[in-house]
Amino acid sequence: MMLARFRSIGWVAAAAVAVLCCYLISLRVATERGALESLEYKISSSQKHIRLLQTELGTRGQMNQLERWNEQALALAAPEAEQFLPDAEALVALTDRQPALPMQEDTQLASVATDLDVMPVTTTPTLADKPALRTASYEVAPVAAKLMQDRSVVDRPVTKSDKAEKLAKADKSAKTEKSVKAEKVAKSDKADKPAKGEKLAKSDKPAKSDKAAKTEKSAKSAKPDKPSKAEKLAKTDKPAKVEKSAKADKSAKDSKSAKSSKDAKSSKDKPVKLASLAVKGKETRRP
Amino acid sequence: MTTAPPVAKPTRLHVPGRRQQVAALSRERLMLVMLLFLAAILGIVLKIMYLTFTGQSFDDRAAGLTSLPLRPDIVDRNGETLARTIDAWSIGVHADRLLTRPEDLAPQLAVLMPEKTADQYLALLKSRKHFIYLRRRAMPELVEAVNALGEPGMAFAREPERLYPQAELAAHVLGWTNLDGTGVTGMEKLLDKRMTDPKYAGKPVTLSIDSRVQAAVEKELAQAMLNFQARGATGIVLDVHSGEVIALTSLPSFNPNDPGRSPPETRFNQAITGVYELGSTFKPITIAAAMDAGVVTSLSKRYDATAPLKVGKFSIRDDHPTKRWLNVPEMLVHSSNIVTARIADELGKDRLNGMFMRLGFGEPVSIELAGRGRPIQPVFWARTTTMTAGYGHGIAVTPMHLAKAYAALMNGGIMHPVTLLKREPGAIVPGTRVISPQVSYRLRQFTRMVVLEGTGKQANAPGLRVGGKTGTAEKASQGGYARKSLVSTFAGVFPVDDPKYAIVMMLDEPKGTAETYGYATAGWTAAPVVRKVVARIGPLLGIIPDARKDIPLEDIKPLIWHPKEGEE
Repeated sequence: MMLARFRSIGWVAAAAVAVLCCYLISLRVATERGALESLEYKISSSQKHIRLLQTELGTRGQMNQLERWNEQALALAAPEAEQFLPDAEALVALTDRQPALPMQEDTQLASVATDLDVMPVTTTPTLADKPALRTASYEVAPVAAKLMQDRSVVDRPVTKSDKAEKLAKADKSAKTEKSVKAEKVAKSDKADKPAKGEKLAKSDKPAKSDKAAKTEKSAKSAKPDKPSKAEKLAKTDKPAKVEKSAKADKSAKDSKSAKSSKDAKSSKDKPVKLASLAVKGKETRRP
Repeated sequence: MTTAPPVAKPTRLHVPGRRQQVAALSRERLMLVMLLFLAAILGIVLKIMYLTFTGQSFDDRAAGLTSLPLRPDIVDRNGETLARTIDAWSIGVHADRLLTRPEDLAPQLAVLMPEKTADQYLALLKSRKHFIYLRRRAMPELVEAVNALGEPGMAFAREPERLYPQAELAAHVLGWTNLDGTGVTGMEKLLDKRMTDPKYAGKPVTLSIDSRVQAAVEKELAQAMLNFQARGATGIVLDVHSGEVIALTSLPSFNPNDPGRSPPETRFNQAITGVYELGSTFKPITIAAAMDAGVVTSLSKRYDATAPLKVGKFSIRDDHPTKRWLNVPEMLVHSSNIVTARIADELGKDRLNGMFMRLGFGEPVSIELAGRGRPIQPVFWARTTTMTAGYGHGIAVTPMHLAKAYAALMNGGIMHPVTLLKREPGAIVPGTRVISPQVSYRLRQFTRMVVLEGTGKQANAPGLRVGGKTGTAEKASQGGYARKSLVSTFAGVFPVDDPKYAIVMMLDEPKGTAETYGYATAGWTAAPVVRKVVARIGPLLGIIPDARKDIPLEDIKPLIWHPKEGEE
C-alpha cells in the first residue's frame, strides 16, 4: 500500500535524477567548451603579443639603425673577392702553408736524435715529448745517463737507480721497439747482477728484504734472474703492488713468480723511458 | 466589548455545496498557476536547447573581438616587414564631461602635447563638444602622462595604426596611409583595393624590394650626396631577367610614419617621376641601334674625332678630346660625342628614334607607382637633333627608363616589364626582343671595357665584373645648358659575363671635392657609389666575387689603342 502511494514520487525522483544526469553532462560539455574558448582566446592574444614584440624588435633593429651601429662600433665591411674560395683546391692551398712551422721543430728533434746515435749507448732514445724533456733536467739526468752508460760494465748505487725509476713512473708514453732494446739492457743487467733485486728490495722495504731474497733463491733454479726484476718493477709500478704483496708472502709459487715476470716484461717500457730521458737530459745539458 | 451588537450577526452561512464550489475554484486557480509555471519552464528549457544547439555564444564574440579585418602587411621579397598595422593609442577628450576647469587643464595639455598652444586647447575644451581627438598615433608614454592628469573626461582608445618599421627605407615605394587607413601614395595607394578586400585579410603583400639591398643603396647614396653636396640622388637595382625592382630610392627621402612633417620636395620620386637628360649613358643605346641596324659593320672601323664636329651653327665637341680617329669600342671607352654623333647621323632619325620607342622612351614607364614621368621627346628631329640625341642630349627620360633599357640591352636583348611586386620564382615573364643577342654580347664587352679602361674605372668592384657607362649631362636651363649644374649618372649591369642585375645611380648637381680633384663628372661621383654598392650587394644577391671570372675581352682589347711609353 505504502509503496503504491509513493510510486508516483518515485517516478518523479527517477526522472529528476535522469534529468540531472543529463544536465550534468551538458554542463561538463559546456565547461570544456568554455575552457577551449578561453584557450583559443589566449592563443590569439599571445599571437597578438608576439606580433607586437616582433614589430618592436624590427623597429628597433631597423636597417638604418644597424647601419648606424656598424658605423659607430662594429665597422664591418663587405667581403672582398679574396675572401671567397672558389673550390676545394683553393682551400687546400690555403691550409698547405700552415704545417711549415711544426715541420721545423721536427727536424730539430731529429738532429738531437742523431747526436744521440753517435753516443755509446745501447738504446736509441725515443723522441720523448717536450714536457718530459724539460722535467728530466739537472739532478736526474747526469745520474741516469751515467747509469745507462755504465750498466754494461759496473754496478751502481741502488738509491740512484731507484730514483731514476721513480722518474720513469711519471712518463707514460713509451714505444714498443724501444722496449725491446731496453729489455735487452735490463736482461744483461740482471745476468750480471742477480743480487740487484735484493738490494733494491732492501732499500725500499728492509723488513721484507729477507723474505724476498728467499723467494728469489727458491725460484732461481727455474728462472734465475726474472723474479728479482719483477720485484724491482713491482716497486716502480703501482698496479704491480698486488704482486709485490704476494711476493712478500713466503709461500710464493713458481706460477706466481712467472706471472710477475710476465708483468715485468709487459711493463718494461718504463726503464726505456728512463733511458731516453736520461740521455735527453744529458743532451740538453751538453751545449 | 460587553455590549453585543444589536444587529443580527452575519454569521457563517451554511449553504450546502458552497464549500465544494470554493475548493473547486481554488483548484482551478492552482492548476492555472501550475500551467503558467510549466509554460515558463518549458520556455526556458526550449531557450536553453535552442542556445545549446545553435551555439550563438562566446565563440562568435571572441572571434569578433580578435579578428577585426586589419590591413595586411607589406613585406619585402625575403619576408621582412615594411609596413604593418598595429594597435596604437589615441587620445581624445569628452569636452562636455570635464571635471577640472578647462583653464587648469589646457596649459597642462599644452606642455604634454606641444603641437597646439594652451589657448587652442582652452578653446577646444570649452567647446562642450562630445568628443574631440587630441592626438592619434600617440606613444604609450604620452598616454600614461595624460592619464596621470586625472581627468575623467579624457578618452583613450586603441586604434589600428599603420607602422613602417624601417622608417625612411623605401619610403617612395611604400607611400603612406591617412589616419583612416586608406592609401595616399605609393604601393599603399595602388594596393588599397586588395588591402581592404576581406578575401586577402591577413595575407601580406610581397614586394620585389630587398630591404638589405635597399638599405645599402640608400646608405651609399646618402653618403655620396653628403660628400658631393648633391641636391638629390637616385638609385635603382633591377633584376634583368624578371624585371623585378630590387631597390628603388630617391633621396632626400621622408618618413612615411609621419609624412606630414617632411618637406614636400622630399616626396618627389626622382627615379619614377623626374625626367633628366642622361647624357653619355645613351651612347650604348645608339651603338646598339647602329649595330643592330647594320650601320656599324666592323668594330675596327674608325671615325674621325680629330676636331669638333660642325653642323650648321652647332659644334659638337668631346669632353675628353683624343684628337684622332676612333673605332666603336674606343668611342665608348673615351666617351666621344663626335663619333657618336657621326654614327647617329649615319643611323638616321627613324632608326634611332625607333630604338628609343622600342625601349619604351615614348611613354611613362610601366610600373605600379603613380606619378610616372613622361619622357621629353624632341619635337622636331633636325639632323642635329639626331646627333645630340645619340649621346643623350635633347631627350629626357626617367632613371627607371634607363635602368629598364640597360637591363634589356645587356640581358641578351629582351625587354621585360618592370614591377615592384615579387614574381613567383619560375614564373614566365613576358618580354619583347629589342636587339639581337650578338649585339647584346658586344655591348657587354664594350661596357666592361669602359669600366676597365675608360671613364667608369671607379665603378670596378673587384671580382664582381661591373660593366657600364658613365653619363654626365648639363642641366637645361633658360636658353641653354648650365655648365655648373650637372646630372651625373652611371648605368650598368653586373656580373657582366652573365648579367643578373642592372644598376643605375644618379646624382643631381654634385659638386667636385678635393678628393675628386674638383671633378663632378659621373666617373668621379656616381661610379664610386656603384662600386661601393655593388661590393656590398653582390654577395647579398648571391653573386660570389671571383677575380678570375670575366667576360672574354680578347677580341676587343687589341682594338683599344694605347699611347706608347713617353708618347702623349
